[in-house]
Amino acid sequence: MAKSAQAPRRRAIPRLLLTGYAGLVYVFLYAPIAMIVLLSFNTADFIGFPIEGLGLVRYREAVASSEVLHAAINSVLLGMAAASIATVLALGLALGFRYRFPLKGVVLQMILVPIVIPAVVGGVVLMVLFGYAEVSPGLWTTVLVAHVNWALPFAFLTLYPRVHRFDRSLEEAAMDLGARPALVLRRVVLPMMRPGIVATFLFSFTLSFDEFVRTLFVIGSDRTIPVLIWTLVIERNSPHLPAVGVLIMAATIVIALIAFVTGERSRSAS
Amino acid sequence: MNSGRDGITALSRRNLLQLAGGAGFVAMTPRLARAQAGNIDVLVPNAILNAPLRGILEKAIGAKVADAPFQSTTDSVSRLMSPGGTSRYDMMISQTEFSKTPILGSGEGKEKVLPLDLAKIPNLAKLSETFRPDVIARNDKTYMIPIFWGFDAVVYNKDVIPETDELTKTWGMIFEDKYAGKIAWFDTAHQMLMAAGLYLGKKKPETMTTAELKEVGDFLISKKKNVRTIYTSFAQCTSLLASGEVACAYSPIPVRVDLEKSGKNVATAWCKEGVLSFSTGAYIPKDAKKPAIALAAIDAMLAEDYASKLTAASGYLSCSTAGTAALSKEEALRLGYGILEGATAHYPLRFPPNISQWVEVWARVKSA
Repeated sequence: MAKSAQAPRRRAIPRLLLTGYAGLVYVFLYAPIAMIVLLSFNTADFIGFPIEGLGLVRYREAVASSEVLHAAINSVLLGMAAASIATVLALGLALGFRYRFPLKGVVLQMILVPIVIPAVVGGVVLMVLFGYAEVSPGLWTTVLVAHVNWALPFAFLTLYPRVHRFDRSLEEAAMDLGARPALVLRRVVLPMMRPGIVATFLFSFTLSFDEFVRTLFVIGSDRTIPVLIWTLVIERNSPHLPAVGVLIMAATIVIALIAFVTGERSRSAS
Repeated sequence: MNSGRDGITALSRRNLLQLAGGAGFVAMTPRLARAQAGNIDVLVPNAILNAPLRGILEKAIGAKVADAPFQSTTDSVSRLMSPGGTSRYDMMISQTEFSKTPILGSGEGKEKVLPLDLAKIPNLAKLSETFRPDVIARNDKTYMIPIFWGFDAVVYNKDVIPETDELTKTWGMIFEDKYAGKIAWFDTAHQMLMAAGLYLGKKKPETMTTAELKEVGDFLISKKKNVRTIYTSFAQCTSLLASGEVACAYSPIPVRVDLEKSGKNVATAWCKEGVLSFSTGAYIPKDAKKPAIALAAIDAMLAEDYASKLTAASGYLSCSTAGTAALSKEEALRLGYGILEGATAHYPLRFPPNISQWVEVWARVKSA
């Protein structure tokens, strides 16, 4: 009797430890974010504690700032362009990787190289490359290439499993009915892959939107949001920075959630 | 907007094109204006283009100024030296002491920058005598001209530390025990070891031997217990002082400027060992696309209109005698121009030849 009464207690201790451990992990992950959110409502002239008052004044400043607005527009347009290019290239690669070809394994590793290269090294390499090529630094020249270079391996890794699982008998059936390869791609493959493509686009967009280190090495006189935030942090006191950070986080979370949901639909559809 | 077959809300192709086109137009508007008026690409400390300085400069040269994000002198020189670096910008400004050797190259003809046509810089006549030695030349050709200068010192909160305190006259304020727990250091090997070296009586701290560096390192380690935090960015230092978390800190100029603009009761400690001063110079990379406009910009920055407003807008001080034109004597002294008259001690922030040793010592201090 005594033994059986102790058993639930013995089970409760590990469970308690596990709960405590999980709680600590969540605190570790989310406490800094919660602090930024709190500071974004601080009406004080400086970033930090003590909280002098709570209000939306810093959000109003962030939204009214023309440099924040221009940087945000730059980041959104650049993200859309980089994500579009990376998604199209990744789709082509993923479709190509369904076939056997020489050095397939080597090509795969080469596609993934930008992921394993440290960001600083990647930035320097791109800066040197553009220097030799005499390409003027700019949002639509050097930065766009840098962002596609960064997003492409992730886009490929997101799309490839979906393409790999795609039922090729559907393509064969379409071709049996007389459809040419281009028509099969347009009317069969792309519609069925659409959720995966949308998820890849959104994931690539967030990667581009958040990219900082490589961008700093190759950008000209333009500013993206991360570069603008960095210059503000380095050079001057900008009390609206936490508000800018929260707005960006919110936008990124929404996009990532949409990507996640569409990705899940894609997975369940295939 | 329309709804996709699989339930995913999507933009129609027409909507998407309209949205992208509209946003693109907004993003391109300043660029188009810049292209029409002509522009120069510069890499300079961004604070020297704070309002109203950018407007003054653009009006003087008749062109827009597009400034890249400035990181540090080391970064600027590295960018100049890297492949394609001599065509990336039309004009650059970085610290004279560090930049002069790399921009001149190993010998005549190896310069990374263009010789400056001094006839196009008539305001060079206004250059302060103090900074004439910082004009960098080789074989009668001038390559770099001082534009502005600054200094690092201790900034302290007068609500906590009275101005009559003897420690307000020395670097000791950020080392000694009196204000333990209310001190912030700057996370840079060069500046912190220079300041500590001066405080310990080293006449030429940039030439410290290995043994002297060890002595300075040991001193800093012994005083680390007094330090609240070691900050990494100017904005962080500003916040630390503004919030009252620290009462004194090793401070570059922009920190004091930000605090004063917000009405904080702060002052600069004019250290008797000498505040750490530096000058910056402008140069035109060898393959700059618009050297004529860049020359005009260098001239305009030495002119009264720009120079007299530089300190109020950025905190930095002009190398032109026109810099003090609009300031009272007291104001000029408070802002640091007293250095030029010998009223304030200063020591040039010279670059040590054995910087890697300095970095190692600083790493030891931080990890102690």
